[in-house]
Amino acid sequence: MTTTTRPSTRASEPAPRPPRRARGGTRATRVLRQSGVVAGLLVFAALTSFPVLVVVLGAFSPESEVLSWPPNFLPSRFTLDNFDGLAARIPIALQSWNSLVFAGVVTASALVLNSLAAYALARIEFRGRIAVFTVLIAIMMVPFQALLVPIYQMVSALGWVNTLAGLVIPRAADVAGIFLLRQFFITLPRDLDSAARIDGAGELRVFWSVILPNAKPALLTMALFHFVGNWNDLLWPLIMTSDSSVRPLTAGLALLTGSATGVAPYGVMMAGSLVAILPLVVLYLLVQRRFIEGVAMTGMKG
Amino acid sequence: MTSTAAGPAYRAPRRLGGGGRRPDNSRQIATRERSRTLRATAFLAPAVAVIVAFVFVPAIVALRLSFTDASGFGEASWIGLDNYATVFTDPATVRAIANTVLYAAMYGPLVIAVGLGAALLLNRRDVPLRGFFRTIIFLPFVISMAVASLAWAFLLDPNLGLIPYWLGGLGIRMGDVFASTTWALPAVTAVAIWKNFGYFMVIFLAGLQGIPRYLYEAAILDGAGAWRRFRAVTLPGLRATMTFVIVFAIIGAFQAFDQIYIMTQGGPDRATETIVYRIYTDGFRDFRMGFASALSYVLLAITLLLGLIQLRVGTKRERDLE
Amino acid sequence: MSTTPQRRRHGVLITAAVALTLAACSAGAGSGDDSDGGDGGTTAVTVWHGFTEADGDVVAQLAEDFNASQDDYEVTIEVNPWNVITDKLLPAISAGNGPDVVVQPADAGEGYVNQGVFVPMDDFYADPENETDTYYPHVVDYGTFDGTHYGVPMAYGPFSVWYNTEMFAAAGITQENLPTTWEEWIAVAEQLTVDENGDGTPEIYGLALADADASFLPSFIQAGGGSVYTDGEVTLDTPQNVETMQWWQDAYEGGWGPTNVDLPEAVDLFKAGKAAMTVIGPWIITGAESVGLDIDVFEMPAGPDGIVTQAAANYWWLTSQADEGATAGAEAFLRYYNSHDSQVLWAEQSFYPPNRTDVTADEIADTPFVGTMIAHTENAYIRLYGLPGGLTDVNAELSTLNTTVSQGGDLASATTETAAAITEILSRFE
Repeated sequence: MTTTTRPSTRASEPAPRPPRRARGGTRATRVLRQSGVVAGLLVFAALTSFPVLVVVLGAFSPESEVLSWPPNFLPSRFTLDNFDGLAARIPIALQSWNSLVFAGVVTASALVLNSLAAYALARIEFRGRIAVFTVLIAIMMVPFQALLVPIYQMVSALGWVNTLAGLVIPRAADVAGIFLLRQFFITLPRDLDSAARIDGAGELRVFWSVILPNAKPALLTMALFHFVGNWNDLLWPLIMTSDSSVRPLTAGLALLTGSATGVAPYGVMMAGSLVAILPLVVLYLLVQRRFIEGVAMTGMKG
Repeated sequence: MTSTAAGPAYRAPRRLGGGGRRPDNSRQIATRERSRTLRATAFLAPAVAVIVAFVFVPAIVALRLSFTDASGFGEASWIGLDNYATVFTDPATVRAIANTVLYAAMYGPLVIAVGLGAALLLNRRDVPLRGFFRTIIFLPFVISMAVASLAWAFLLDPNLGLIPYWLGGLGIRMGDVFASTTWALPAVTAVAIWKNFGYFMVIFLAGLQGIPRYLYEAAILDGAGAWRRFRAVTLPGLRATMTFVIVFAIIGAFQAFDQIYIMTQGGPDRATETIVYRIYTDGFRDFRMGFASALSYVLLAITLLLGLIQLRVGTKRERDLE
Repeated sequence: MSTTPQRRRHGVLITAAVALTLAACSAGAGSGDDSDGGDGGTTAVTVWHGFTEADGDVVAQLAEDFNASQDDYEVTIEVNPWNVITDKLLPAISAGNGPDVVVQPADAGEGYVNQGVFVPMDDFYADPENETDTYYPHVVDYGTFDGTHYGVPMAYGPFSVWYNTEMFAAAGITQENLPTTWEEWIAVAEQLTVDENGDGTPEIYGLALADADASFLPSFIQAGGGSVYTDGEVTLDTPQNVETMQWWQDAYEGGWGPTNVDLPEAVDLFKAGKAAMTVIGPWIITGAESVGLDIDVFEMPAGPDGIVTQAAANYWWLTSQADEGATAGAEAFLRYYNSHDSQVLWAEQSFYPPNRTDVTADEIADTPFVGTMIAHTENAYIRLYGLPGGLTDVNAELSTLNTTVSQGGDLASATTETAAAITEILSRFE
């Protein structure tokens, strides 16, 4: 994004942080508190990662050991058979690409459309903005399952079934994303745009050069949610596509649950799960530092 | 402050005009206002077009269906409010509503508390391996519900699962939580919290970035302890975030579907049937699209009521902040 | 406030107009294709099914062979998970994006027939070239409603008892003394149950039978001489049926099997080597192979009123979307699919017994088990056949009753309650 506002952001940061010591307590209590925090995090981490670990280990286990009695945590040997089985059943590379395009395009368009709308709702004091906002929120509360058939009919009437357009356009903007961004935009100090306006900036300039750069964490958060949500979405791509060549990966993996009871190849399913998770973990690793420690929206109100 | 939902149209001009302006400014004010409305319209138009076409219009179609005996195929005839009457008399549907309320009461507060707790822990600067923890703790959110269900079903299977096996080694007998009419709903709720708290954690983390550090520093200088800093600085600083999070938790809770669809299919003995699960089975499996639509609008009414209460409280607070 | 509703109304109008225009265009394009078909091109026939393993591969191969065998029709197969087919069949057919032919189980058939989604296939059955007289009569009957033929047999998989050959050999049970009655069966199950530490939870179950989803309750009731539902009436609440269920409740006290398991869980126990027997269809052959388990099969033992087992019965159904050309193409493909040679291939590669009575065990002797299973088809009926709708809800009610059977409780009152609940559910479909 633009660098124009960077200096001003820095300039208005608060006085340098007081040295750590001032944050209270002796060295002993600090160590104690820190180990408490670490213990809490370890519990969290164990709870969250254990089931995922089971999937990862299962992906490399022989099928006969994925499901066995007594259950194994670690397989007796590691194997890539499940990945061969996966490749034999679904076109992984093609469907991964489809997933990337589907989730990527939805995310990109949602970033643009949602942030424009959120800006209007948060920063322009037009008549009835609360009414528009309220109606949008109300729409969000109609369960998706009730809308699925009418949406399908609409997409079908447009001739978009089994196409990227059908997958993407109905999701090009969404209330949840607008809502999320609005809640962040609204916390940005008013002085920001006033200053820019005094300098003669128009609405689009304020939006682009003042609000957006200061809302990077929120934008990244929304982008991450949209990407992950669409990458993992099941019902939507399954309903909107029938052709395995336009299907995203998660929808393709759904076929692995097997056509009949008792034939589900668990090892292959876990291998497929791993393939589907990996890009998201990598994405998160790339993004997390930025969006959590990114451009902090601090110190502007003082 | 004037009310939000009832008379928003009258609020804006008063604010914009600044109250007691001289009358000769009124035309100027009107022009400025019109220009604001125009600019806002331009900013809103693309997103609203998509939402109108693919959410609003389908919602109207569904509303119309709710007054018919539509099966999802062929002709349907108008039956007035019959579907709505059935919603409150059909025992299975009433049970689903009760289950949903119970689910929401467990899920909502817990997922927010866990998400906030994790965010507060991870927001500290003195945590070693922060990036590592952030990644690990966020993992459940990144994986799909299908994978999460597969993993948990494997771990908790009473006969073949690792957890009952290990507990058995310690002499603890563990039944099948997903097959127990008492424990299935809490178990499904727990998996949903496990899966989703990362979402709330991330929103809280981003929200925490918005709290000016000097406020904490001032509080420390005032001798405020950790709890007081949390009450006096963190929570007020998270107000706008909280509005979003609570509305979202309410919607998420009342629209619980995925984990039930994948893990329990509403069983055992309807113990985990939620409103949306019924909407789904009635609409898609049992040719009762009209009834499913009516049930959707009952759900909308419930969520709207709770959501708008929260939103009204929230936006009022936001305005007080400004 | 004044501008927004107006704009929204405009938006609706514009969207609707765009949708209608595009719909008109695509409809025009579609009919153009059809007329091309009439001029000697190929007519497309779209088929949906949910077979994903060996069975799906055979269907794909037969479709390919069929396409290569003639120039008039081109069959396109689209594989969707079964539940997704259910989800989108109605909207897709309403919109003309659905299949011309879809594979669905028999118990789903009547509901779709009543909705007008599935259309009659009397012409197909009337044509002697299609050799429909070689089909099993009771299998054909399940696809017939009010005397009109709808479904064409596609995959009829009888549920049989599959056992772990190693465990049977260790217990000294041979081909000669396999159980043939419920009493013998349960005795064998108790014999095979292993509880080394004596904690009441066996390490190895003799028989893993699904109870949490009421998979087998209707078959057991039928084998006891009764039924859950007959000719539009709920006939569950009879002393005879209570007696049958009482027999099973007493049998369950032998502790030979797990309770609160559904069908996939029961099969998983068997695959993991934690149960000596389970009841499932022929597709378990693929599953057992994948984990390297040696298995064999025998027919469901007889209840008081004879042998009754269920079948996973899938049929080809022609949908209301199919026009004249697609109907002709569908009929040609189904004739090809159910021809003698195709059925031999189907049996050999999918492990389902063939749909035709004239395929003999000798012809498929190279394929294990399937020859044996041909005989099981005779006594394999469809679970809860003829229900007008509400299958999900009826199953939920029966599951509760089934857990009373497996875990104890007063059966007479539970049966009365369940019967009343099912009557209530079915009253919606009168």
